[in-house]
Amino acid sequence: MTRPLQRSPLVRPIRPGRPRGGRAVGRPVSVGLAALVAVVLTAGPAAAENPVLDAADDTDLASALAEAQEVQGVCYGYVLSVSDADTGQFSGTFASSSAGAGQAASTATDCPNGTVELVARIDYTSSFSEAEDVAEWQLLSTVAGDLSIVDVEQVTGARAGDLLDDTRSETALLNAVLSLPGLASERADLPPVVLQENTEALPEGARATDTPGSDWLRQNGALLALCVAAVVAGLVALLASRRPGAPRRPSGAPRTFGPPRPYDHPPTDHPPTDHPYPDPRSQP
Amino acid sequence: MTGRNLKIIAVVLVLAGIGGIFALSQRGSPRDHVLRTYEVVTRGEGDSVTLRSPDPVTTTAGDIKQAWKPAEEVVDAGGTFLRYQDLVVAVTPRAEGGSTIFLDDEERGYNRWFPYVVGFWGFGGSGGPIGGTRGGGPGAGK
Repeated sequence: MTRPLQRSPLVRPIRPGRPRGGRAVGRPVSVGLAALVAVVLTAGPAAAENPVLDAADDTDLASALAEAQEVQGVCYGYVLSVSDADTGQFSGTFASSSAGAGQAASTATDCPNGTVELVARIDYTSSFSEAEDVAEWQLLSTVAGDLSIVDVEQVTGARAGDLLDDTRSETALLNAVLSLPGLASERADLPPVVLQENTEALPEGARATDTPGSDWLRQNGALLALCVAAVVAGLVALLASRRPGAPRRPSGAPRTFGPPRPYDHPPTDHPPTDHPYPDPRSQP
Repeated sequence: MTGRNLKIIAVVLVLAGIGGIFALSQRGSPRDHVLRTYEVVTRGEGDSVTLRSPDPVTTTAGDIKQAWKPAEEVVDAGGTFLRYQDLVVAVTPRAEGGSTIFLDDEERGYNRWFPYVVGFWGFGGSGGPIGGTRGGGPGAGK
């Protein structure tokens, strides 16, 4: 009996270390010196740190994949190669699979129905470089059904670039790797891994947090904004068409071009004789 | 552009905008969509409902996600969990083919799928892990 999956008993704070997003070019010299000092101080034989999953994640992942292997006879796992040109703290090769944490699925032996392995690579560029960090991944599969990384991305919505985002990298990699048994089940006609509902009382204090906002707004927000913009634009156009002082052509008058001139009157059989002001053009 | 044309355009924009807002307001909710689309198997406590889909997990979950974008999603070896506002949708495979859909409110859904969503959607508490909740037994195949 494998132990239950407890990926993250506590919500862990965001892992410090890698900067998020693009890099600032031309940082102050003091920052560069501070970074250099930090590099010197931290240089040493310390073990590399997985920037995406920690040891507990790897263990839980291996446990879940081992169950899938037991059901399907397929070995699953991931291998992540990291090149950290900045501090070197994250440089290394990390893996977890149904064979255990720290082991690649491709090295497993008891895989009668094949192996599916997600191979990812992250290149952290130097802080002094203008080049952006790079992440990419692919899927190596010997299982029938032509599984590809596109299938994984479609199912999970995750992209390789998510591995560079501290807020999304953990979920993206876990979802991607844990989607493999389900995909293999559907594509290669392998038995599915069946989940069991929890029927025991939760630990004290366990609860869902960060309740999401409105589903309706999340789904329809963009269209709603478009509709509101259309209404506002329509009202503005309506006001513009009715603004006071706008030139109006009297009914039945011929079309004229150019700006309105004073004392323009529609042609009549008899010119007005009771005009309160004399027409300057008729003055000698 | 003459004032008459401008008025016509203005009226069309206002009517289209109001019509669009009205149409959007008729869209219902993720729960309504699932209940309308899939076959109800059982109704449990509270608002919990179990439904059946003839499609596999990835297709069913993909259709639900396309209709209503979830706030969060957790993919597991045995299913997909979608989180909405006070709604948890779990899509799991059926051994005989197709998939089963579980609808629960936030609290029930979190309790039911705690071993799989803890750490992603909430606080795990301080009482230690729950044992023996995770499945993994072989299904009968499709």
